[in-house]
Amino acid sequence: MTNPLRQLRLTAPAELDFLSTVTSMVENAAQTFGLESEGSLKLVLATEEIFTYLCHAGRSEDTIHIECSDYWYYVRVDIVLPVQPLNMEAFNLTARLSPDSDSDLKDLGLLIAGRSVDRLQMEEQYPAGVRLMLIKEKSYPEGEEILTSAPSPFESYSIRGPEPEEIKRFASLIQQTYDSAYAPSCVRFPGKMADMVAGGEYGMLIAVSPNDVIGGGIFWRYLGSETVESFGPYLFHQAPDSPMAEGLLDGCLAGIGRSDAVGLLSRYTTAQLPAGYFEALGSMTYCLPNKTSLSREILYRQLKEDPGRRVWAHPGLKRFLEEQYHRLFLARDIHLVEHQGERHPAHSVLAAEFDRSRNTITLRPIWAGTDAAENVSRHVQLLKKDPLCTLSFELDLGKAWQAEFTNALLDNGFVPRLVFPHAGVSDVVVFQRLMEEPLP
Amino acid sequence: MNVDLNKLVPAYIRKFEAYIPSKPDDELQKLYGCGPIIRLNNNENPLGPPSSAQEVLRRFPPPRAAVYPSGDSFHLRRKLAGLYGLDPDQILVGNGANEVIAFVIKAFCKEGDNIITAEKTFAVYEWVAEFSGFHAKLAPMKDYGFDDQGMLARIDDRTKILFLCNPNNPTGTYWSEGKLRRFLDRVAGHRIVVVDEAYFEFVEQEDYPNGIELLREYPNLVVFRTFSKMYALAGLRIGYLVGNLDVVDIIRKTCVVYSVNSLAQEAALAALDDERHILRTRDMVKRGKAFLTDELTRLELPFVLGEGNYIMIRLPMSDTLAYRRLMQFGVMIRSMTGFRFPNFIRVTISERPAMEAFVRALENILE
Repeated sequence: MTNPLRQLRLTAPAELDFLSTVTSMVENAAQTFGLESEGSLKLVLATEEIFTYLCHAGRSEDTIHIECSDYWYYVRVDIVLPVQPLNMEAFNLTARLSPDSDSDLKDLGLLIAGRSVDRLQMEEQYPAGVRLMLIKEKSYPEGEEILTSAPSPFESYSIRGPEPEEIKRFASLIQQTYDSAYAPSCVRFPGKMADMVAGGEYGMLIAVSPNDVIGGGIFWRYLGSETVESFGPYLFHQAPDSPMAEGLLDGCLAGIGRSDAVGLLSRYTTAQLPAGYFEALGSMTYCLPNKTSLSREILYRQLKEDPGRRVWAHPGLKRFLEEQYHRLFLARDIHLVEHQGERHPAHSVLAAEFDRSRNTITLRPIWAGTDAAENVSRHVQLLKKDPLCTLSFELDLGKAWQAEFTNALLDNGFVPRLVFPHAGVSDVVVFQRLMEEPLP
Repeated sequence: MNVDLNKLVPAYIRKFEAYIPSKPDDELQKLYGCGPIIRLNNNENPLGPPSSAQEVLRRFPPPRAAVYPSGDSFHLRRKLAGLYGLDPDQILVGNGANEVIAFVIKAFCKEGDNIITAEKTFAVYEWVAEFSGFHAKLAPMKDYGFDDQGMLARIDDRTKILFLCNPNNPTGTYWSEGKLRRFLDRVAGHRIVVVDEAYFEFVEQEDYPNGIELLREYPNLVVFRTFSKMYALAGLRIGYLVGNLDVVDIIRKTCVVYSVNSLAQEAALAALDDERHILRTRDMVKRGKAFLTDELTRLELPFVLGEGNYIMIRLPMSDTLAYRRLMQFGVMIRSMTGFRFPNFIRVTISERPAMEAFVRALENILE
């Protein structure tokens, strides 16, 4: 994550008396940072829901920190508060929920907030606390078609970083040349792409002729600190055997090879992707807004030498893991975790991440508890009403306690789809449940 | 009580990724279910240390371990000075050449300064600069070699040091004496120029320069050498730098004394006397290169082969995948994505059985 352009901070007691102060700050900051009126109001609504919810769930002596940050193409509100283990349960989406009772909707602050913004993320805050991040993207006009004659394949070209106007032109060329399945939706908004690159969250290379005509390009973004996702390479009117695609991918890899990223992921691959660079991790199914689904092959390559490692897993996952590790040639020492009567906390906690651009909700465990099965079930019941119909669950095999969720997931219709090497403390298993599937 | 690391840790450290070295052989054998590991990843010398150094190791009296070593490697510096016709104070010995890289950067750079090196070379110059809070400016390679013009063009008011790896690891390219002199003339003493000669003893080309012989003419020149490669003392960690007396006096201020252990100092001292070891090693490398050239040509795999005891091979698969697959045959190579050469691997030239095992494993994973 890059540094914000500008930031405002406010610290308030967890008391409803300060609600209007908090929402005023967020509204003013969001508008000053360039978020349009409707977007600002949605961000204010989400902040209001969460602040109110935390005032009810927390203690009045708690202090809540609110940060409103300008990140070029989006505004982010961070809500940080100290958490005692005893009230962690409140951070479940389903906390305080009595199904079938309309009066309890006021207690669904996290869920309502998740529906108001483009992304809602929650993470533990070192040393003791929780950080909720609300992200609302700014509005950009859709790109217009570029009227240009198709260039001949380049005899010579160079690969370099783009100027701002070239970023916009590159985005428009992708939009004109490739089907929407081969590029993320942001290419429809060239100005947004320019801001994404300017903000440092995205990297980009283009291949240009000696007179600076764009013949191709590739771009990538950081997903957290250790995984990078690449898009493309995209080529425009180049010969099928052109080495340009390989040059672009090599350039991308050279750019991130010595960063702290350990893996490169590719979900939007084109026919021009050179062979021999990636490994297939498996496939994920994504629900589309029109209720159809799209299966995507997930390609991956490690950027560092795999050191081999120990992973923790429930016996129910052993066979799946053995097959995946054998197929991917990953040296792993699988240690099985079983509950043998030891005392566990009563309540588990799940963090939910909403990503509207991908129509996905991702759950991650942040606290183990004996109610894991019921908690997962409650989340499925609640989220199946959400229009974001792709539900994923990520288990970190580096945290032995997370293995306890395995049975709960399998019992609730989740299927292990793939293993992301080194995506967490250790490898991460991604489960998926398509929301139209009935509960078993 | 918790430590607030967010406040304590500088941003340039937070963004830096720690280097994770490979696990010990016994752990790797368990993880990969393979036999003894053939290590072709670190450019070590499979012949082991010169026999004179081995004798020192065998005879080292255990009670000496209780006594601090010579804090400044007194005898070793005198011996090196005698060999090169230098004042012993022109030499600083470190815990491997990596340590002397840090000495130089600490001695000359302050906040806002930068160093210049190549984009695709030994990573430690760049790493030490970056995690010390200094910017590393990287010049793209030209024909797999350092680009002198590209480096000169990147010099600005805040540039303090230019690092040249000669011959370059991992490509094996080198600058001739003429090219190095022209570069030093252009720098004109305004910046420190470090020439890392870690693989000096492997090079037999007539136009390959001996940096130490240029010190009198170029007082801004600092030369690195190591005992880890040709002299096969990598496990003892010992290397050194040589420079102009005034320059080394400055670097000495940042030097950690007592960092080089007694065993390393004495083994290095003995190693310098064994000229036959160098000839045997060069012969082994020559034969290994010829064998691999034939085999890689047969397998139709492109490769980059120059000076030094290593070769770079382009694979039709991800180098990190090749690393994992070769490990299953007990063969450990260096993947090159981290050197900004994706899908290349670097292989240490070794003795025939190891080279044959590597080729067998390679053929297997390419099937």
